[in-house]
Amino acid sequence: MKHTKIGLILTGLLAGLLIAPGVANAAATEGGTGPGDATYNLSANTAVTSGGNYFAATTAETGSAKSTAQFTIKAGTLQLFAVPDLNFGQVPMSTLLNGGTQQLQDSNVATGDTASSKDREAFDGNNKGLLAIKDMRGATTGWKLSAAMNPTFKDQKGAPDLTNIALNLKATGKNSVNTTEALPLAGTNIGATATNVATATGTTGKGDTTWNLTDPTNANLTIPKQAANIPSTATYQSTITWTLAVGA
Amino acid sequence: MKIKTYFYAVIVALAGFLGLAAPQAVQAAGTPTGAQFYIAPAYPDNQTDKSLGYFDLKVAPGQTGKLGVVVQNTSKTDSRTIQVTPIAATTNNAGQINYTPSKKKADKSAQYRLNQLFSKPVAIHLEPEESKTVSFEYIIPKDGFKGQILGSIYAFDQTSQAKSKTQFGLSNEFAMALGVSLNQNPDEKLIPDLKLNKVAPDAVNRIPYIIANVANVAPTMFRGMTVNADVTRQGNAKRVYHKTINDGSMAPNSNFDLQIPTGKNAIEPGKYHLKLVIHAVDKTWTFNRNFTVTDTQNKAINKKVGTKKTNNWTLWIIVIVILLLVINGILLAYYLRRRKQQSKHAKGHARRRH
Repeated sequence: MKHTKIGLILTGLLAGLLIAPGVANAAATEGGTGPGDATYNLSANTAVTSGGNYFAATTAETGSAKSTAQFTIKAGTLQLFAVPDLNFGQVPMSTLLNGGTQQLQDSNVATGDTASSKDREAFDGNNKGLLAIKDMRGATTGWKLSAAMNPTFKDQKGAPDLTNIALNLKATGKNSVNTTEALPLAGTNIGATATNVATATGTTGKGDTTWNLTDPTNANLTIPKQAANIPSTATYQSTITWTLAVGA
Repeated sequence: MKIKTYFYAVIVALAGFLGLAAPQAVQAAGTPTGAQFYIAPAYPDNQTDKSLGYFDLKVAPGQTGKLGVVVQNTSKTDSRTIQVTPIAATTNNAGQINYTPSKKKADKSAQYRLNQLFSKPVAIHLEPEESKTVSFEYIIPKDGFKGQILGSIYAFDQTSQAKSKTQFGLSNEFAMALGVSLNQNPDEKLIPDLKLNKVAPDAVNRIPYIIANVANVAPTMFRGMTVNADVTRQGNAKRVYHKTINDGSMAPNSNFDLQIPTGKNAIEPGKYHLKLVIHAVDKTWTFNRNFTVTDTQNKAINKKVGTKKTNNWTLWIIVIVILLLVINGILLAYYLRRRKQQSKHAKGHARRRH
């Protein structure tokens, strides 16, 4: 008797688990014009077509969409042209144990290691510390460059993570169109959330805007005291996400 | 040059001294140059101004519309995969509009978020120098919405990037965002409506702050925001903590945590007052708020920050050990001297007896 009861409850739970996602989906689809439980509108379609010359009419023929909106392509582009490899060299154990600041390593520092010299040549441009944005749109709105850094540095061989590290950037820019324009690159305490580091208004940042991140003062990491037991052979890595945005 | 050499020498010496990896290659790897792609807007007919560079669309209740983005791979040699996603705009804790994905929940005041109205994200594969157009469909609710809905079409390059091989390295990842603003009446000027929510101390990234949550509950974005926050002890006009934001901005129906730093340690327990003055769009908001910091809060934050009392313990242990050693030394010296004197004494006696 007791067994059947438990069995029934379990079946019920299982059924619930199986049905639940289906129900959520159905609600969203039925909702049609309104946003349902889904993060995206499930009754709307995303379409991908080849090439840059897209007209809605092409899609309408295939019957996948009702809209007849026409698109016109804006000539000229905006691109994050070059980004430096930010290299912080070797961090003294004392900085990790007591907390402190680690500055950008001068990219001109010789290494003496042949294998690495080869790599350096292979990725020329990156090692010159160049950060560059090319704006050839002729648009009335400028652009914004933001950076987000994962504050957790990981070792591939499984050494304990280094946590809560923040990035700071500071440099003066040059512009190809207006040579007197010095767009600043500035961001403090950059962590997981994207933070603006450079802003071009509608009248600035046209053509090429460049910054040279070669001096130790151009970038540094704020490292709080690490509790982890860090082996001396660890090599720590994290990622930086650069986003070039245009918006209201 | 001398300074640089010295700086490097110090690092190497420290590293060597502490047994940290022998100075191996300060080498760079990773991606060649910058982002190897771009996205550009393909404006639909309801775009208000085609010179903007982002989408500013006039929409109607119940309307189904579309917008397109051209995604171009600029690499001559590599193919890549780019994820293109419609996202809602948020406000980051530095007081800036954020057009990149955020885990932040929508503000309670938000009627709709941009992503809820748009079709699903898509990942597209591009051969070298290939371009594709992604068109997203949106459906405006039948009852329409008030004011502005803001977000972006966010494109993130998923192509795996080569890892930096340095001992402390950062790999670069690339994204681009094109703003999308939806409006039923683009000419209607709405005024931001700011509210001060919770004020409490906490630690973020192991840095102690007083956190004041500021919300823009109006469905309109704004720029040119100046924030001045002063914290005093209740009944004392002297400012103890301070924070300013210049040229800030906020997304419609969004909130952010204004972080007022309290130095190295958590704010001391006690009664405080926050005066917050925000200026934007020719309007000034002044908020006054009393708040209390308890002993428990102070301890909890200090624990998060890592200002542990254990440091004092180790110091005490060292002091005690040193003291014990000193006492031991004195006792030993005294004992040895006494023994020497005693033995001299004994010898003296022995001589006299003879």
